[in-house]
Amino acid sequence: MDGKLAREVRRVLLRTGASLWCATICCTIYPLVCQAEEETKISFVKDVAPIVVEHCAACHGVKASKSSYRLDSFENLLQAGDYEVAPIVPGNAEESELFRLVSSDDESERMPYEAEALSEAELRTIESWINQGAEFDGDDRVRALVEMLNVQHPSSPEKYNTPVPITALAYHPEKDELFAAGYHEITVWNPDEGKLLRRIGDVAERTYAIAFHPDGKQLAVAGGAPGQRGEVRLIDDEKSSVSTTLTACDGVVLAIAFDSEGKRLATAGEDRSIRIFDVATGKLEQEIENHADWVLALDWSSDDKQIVSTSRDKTAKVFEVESGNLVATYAGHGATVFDAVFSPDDKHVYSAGADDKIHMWNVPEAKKQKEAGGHGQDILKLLLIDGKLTSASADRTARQFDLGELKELKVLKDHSDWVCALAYDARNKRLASGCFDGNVRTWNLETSEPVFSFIAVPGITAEGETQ
Amino acid sequence: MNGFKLQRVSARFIVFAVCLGQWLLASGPVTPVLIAAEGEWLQAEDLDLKPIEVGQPEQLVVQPERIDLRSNRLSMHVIATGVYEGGGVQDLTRAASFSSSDESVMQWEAGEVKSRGNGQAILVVTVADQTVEIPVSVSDFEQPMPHSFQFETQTAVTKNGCNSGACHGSPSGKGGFRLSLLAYDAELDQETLIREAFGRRTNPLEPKKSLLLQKPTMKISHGGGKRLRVSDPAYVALEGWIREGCHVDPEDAPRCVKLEVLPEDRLLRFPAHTQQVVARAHFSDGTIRDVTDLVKFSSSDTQVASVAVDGLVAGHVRGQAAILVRYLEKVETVVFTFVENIEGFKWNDSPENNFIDTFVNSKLNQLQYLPSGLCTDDEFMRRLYLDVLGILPAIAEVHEFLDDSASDKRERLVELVLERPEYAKFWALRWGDLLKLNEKKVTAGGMHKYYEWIVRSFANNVPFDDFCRDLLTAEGSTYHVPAANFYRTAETVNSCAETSAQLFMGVRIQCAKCHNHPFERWTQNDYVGLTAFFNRVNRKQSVRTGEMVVWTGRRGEVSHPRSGEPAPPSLPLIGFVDENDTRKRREIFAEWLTSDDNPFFSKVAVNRIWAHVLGRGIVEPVDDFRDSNPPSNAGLLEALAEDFRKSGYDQKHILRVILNSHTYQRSSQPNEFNQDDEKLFSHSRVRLLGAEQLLDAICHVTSVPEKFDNLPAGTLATQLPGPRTNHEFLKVFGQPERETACACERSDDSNLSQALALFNGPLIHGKLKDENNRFRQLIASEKSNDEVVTQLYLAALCRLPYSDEMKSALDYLVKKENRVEAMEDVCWALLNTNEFLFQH
Repeated sequence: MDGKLAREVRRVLLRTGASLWCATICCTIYPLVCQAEEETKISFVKDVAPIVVEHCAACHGVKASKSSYRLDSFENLLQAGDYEVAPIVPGNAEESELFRLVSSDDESERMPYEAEALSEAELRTIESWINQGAEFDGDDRVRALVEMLNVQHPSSPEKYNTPVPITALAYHPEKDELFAAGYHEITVWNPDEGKLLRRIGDVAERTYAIAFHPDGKQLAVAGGAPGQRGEVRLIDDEKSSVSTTLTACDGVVLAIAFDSEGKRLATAGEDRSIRIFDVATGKLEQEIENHADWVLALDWSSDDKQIVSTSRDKTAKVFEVESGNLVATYAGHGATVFDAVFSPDDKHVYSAGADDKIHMWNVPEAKKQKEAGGHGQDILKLLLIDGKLTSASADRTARQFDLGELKELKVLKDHSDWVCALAYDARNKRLASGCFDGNVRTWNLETSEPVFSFIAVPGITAEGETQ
Repeated sequence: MNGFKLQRVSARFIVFAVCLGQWLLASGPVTPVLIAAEGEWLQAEDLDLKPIEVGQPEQLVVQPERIDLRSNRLSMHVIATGVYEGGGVQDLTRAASFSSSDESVMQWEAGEVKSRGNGQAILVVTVADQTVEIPVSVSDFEQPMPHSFQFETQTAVTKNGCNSGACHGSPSGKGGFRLSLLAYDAELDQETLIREAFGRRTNPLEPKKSLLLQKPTMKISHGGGKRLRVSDPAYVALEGWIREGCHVDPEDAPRCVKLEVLPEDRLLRFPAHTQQVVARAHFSDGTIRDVTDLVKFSSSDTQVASVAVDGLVAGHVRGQAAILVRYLEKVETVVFTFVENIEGFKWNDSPENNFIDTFVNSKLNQLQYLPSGLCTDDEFMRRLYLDVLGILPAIAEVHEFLDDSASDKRERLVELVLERPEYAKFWALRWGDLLKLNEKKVTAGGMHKYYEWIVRSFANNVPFDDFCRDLLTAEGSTYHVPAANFYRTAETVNSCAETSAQLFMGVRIQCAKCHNHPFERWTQNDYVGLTAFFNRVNRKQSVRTGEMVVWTGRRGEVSHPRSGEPAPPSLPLIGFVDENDTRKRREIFAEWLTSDDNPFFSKVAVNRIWAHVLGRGIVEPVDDFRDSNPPSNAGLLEALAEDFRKSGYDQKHILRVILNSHTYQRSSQPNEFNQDDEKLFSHSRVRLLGAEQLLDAICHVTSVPEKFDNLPAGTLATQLPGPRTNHEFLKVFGQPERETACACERSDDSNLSQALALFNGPLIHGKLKDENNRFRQLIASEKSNDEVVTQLYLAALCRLPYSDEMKSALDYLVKKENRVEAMEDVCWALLNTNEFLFQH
């Protein structure tokens, strides 16, 4: 170049801010280079545990532990099973038997057994986690993995294309609102007009129980995904959203009950255990493993000292809460017992079952005092209302009985399907009954007349068509 | 003929015992799940399929001949059969090419015609130089066809084994999930699948997430393992039903009235050995739906042929197999015969004495087994006496027969034997087993009278239909009318129905008491309808000890166990009995049963007679007639049944025909071309003597009769009216207790106790040591060793000893000091030979 051109070039470069130009280039390139070198840190709780719970825990958990190997807690995950080979060699995925099995090409030994292989992304996650040292970033190595997962539930369909059974109902203690179980949500309705007021999402697929806290500000919902996982979530009524997951476990939760002050919440369900939590701290205070099959219902005694539970194992049992001791067992139904309530003086229990009858028996002798027939099919729910016993049945009726003699006082007929849920509005003296076909009917209990009936399913009109 | 014969016989025994062991293991209750899983889950790709050799078919036949699809969800399988010169056929479906004349109406896809739009089209099928055109019509294409609960959901869970007896169809279900066995109870299944536990098993909003689909595909852990794949027609059917909202079928939904299976019974000659089977359900609205993907296929003999879940049948070896097709309670069978050209096989023109031989030989020739030759005279005599009389012939009789040189001596011996009094008594023993004639049930007095009545019936050659009618309609005092004891041994309506069905219809209907029969077309309604014939039979103790009076009431109905409604009597395959028929119900039943056009009666009767003398029924087991257990020679069975009917149900006549056939008189020695045959009567079967026969034979050889309590001296074991409770020897060799009407109660298992009883049991020991036994008497009257040994052989084996046998016996006798003891040993050895213990 001759001197004139060189000077021209230098000027151009300087004018365009070469250094700035370089700096810009460097600033964009450098971080990319850095990122390529630095690998993302895999979290056991956030990344690995969900994979394990979804694909492995069913055959390698509490109920079934194939080859004596369990993956239901971190501690167990590290213990070798029958084959006595170390499942995890921290830092070395290739030598880790767990990784070898999930990534094996041999279909006869690949895990999960006889099911679809883990996805490429899932395999990379596990591999990276092991190679990064197989660290545990949870707070309790022996805690069940399923409890650690914080699941974000999918949103519900805007309009349902088919009704769902109303498996739980609850009136708000202070407002004219009726809460009903929906699909991955709780739906809140104006019960006199059947209008949908609000929808509370981020809830498990099915809800089997809704219970309001005595303070009227929060409610607990229990449910889960059948055959897979259950949970209890606490919902802040004002915010209309989930505030916390109180507990998660291996099978759906079918029953919950607050004690009289709302200090503790009892839960029970498919995994057969009754658990009692401190509501404020979420701490597990008591665990009672006694029933041989699903626990379907719970009720506290009025002094909060005892709890009655019913089960598919054909018994109803009374336990002392503090000690967890069994106080009484009643097997008189000879069939699944669906629900039970203490009498107001806590000396008796009224239980209802698949033998189509209500039995009244004393505590702790568990001797039958009275029996009420009348219902023609399974009795699914019991509720103590104003000194009377109310029942809901698959025979499409709800009935009321007097507590002393179990005499039938009234019959609320003409439901369109099985009556699965009941709720009582103490302020307006109304009863709401929910049916298997999605219908909800409200009743004036003084006159025994129906007040209003609607399908409590978003998007479905009375004629059963989607709006 | 020499000592090798014994080796052959013992080798046969070992093979027999091993086969028996295998049969027991395979068909016992031990591993039903294993076998069920294997058979049901067989995929077409697991079959070892060789490519089809098309050759030059003379004609191409395509079925069905026309196709009518009335919905976008319906499709139709098509099969193409090549017919060759000489009449042979082959399934060419896999080798044919299919095309549609109008793809907007229908398309050929994956073995099926699939509808694409309303209209008419032609399916063109081409193989080699043959072409066939099938008209296809598609209508109502836009019309939605809701998934049916009964015809899709219930069939889907049946097809994939969900409701089998080992899994969720068991009475308590599995894992808290209970379905009705093979979908016999639609209401129960509806409640379980749709409503139980608030509908937890189905998810109409997100069908793929339903437990009903996630568990069998192993997306969630499932104790039953992987039973369903996402691509299975059953999955598609279930998902569709759930997506539509899990509805119950409307009241006016069309019902399935008939199940049609294509092709009909077929004979395939290797290399042709595969066949696609297609199942079509005819509905009450006139539609025909292809249900091949949802029916349950199974094979009656998986050694001969297997069937894949999509209906492809593959033959493995020559033989016969029935392919059972089940669509809910409709059961149909296709019988396949696989033949194979065996190298070196050439028919030997085995003589045909009568129609039996014609039928037997035709089957043998078809499947290329060569019949063995005739047995020897001594074998014939021994066999005949044991089969007809239950005893061994006297030595004088043996001499007479062996010395006779007339060409018709065997025929004359048959005549002689049929006139002997032992005939009636021995066959009364066999019927005593079936009629549960034991002292506990009918008391000692009743036992004798019942037994004597049966003996008289046989001695007088009472026609078999009369015999059965007498039993079924008997009433009065069990002393005066011994046949009334039938109702003493069948005390409840269930027992009456089950016994009658098993004895006279060859049907084990017991399974249908609680649910539809798993292997057959019998439903619970059939069972209940049958019991209704026996409901009015009453029994009353009389004042005399041991006597009971059987009489018929005029009122009373059985109630159906599921509905609680009164169930009127109904005849199998026919239906309800005319209400106005005033005859006693038992009479109506007995008349239907013994009528000439009853499809069961004569076949079952001749099959039993055949099994008694040939060792195996044409249908085996003899009281298990079902479509899935076809006769090994259907033509033979039909011909025998026809002859039986024509003769007026004359048992002696049928026996005579059988005993005079070449088939009956064949040697038990197999040849190269029939040693694998177990079912087709190419050679005689070697059988262990029955308990009573063996005891009498031992007594005969040793000339020491057995004394039985409370019976006259000289009563033979084969003439006992009822089983002895305390006779060790008879029990060990399988004498039945007579608790059931099943022919299987007489055990023909071999076991260690039997060997021990024969080696050094008290019975044998006692007879050998008896002071007045045969050889002691002969020795005492100064007969030579040669003469004594000869007598023993004649008594035991109906023949003279061979030279080497005589030599070893004599050598032994000379060596030992004590002649009598030495003779004991020779006799003992003879009693322990297979030739003595077995019938051959």
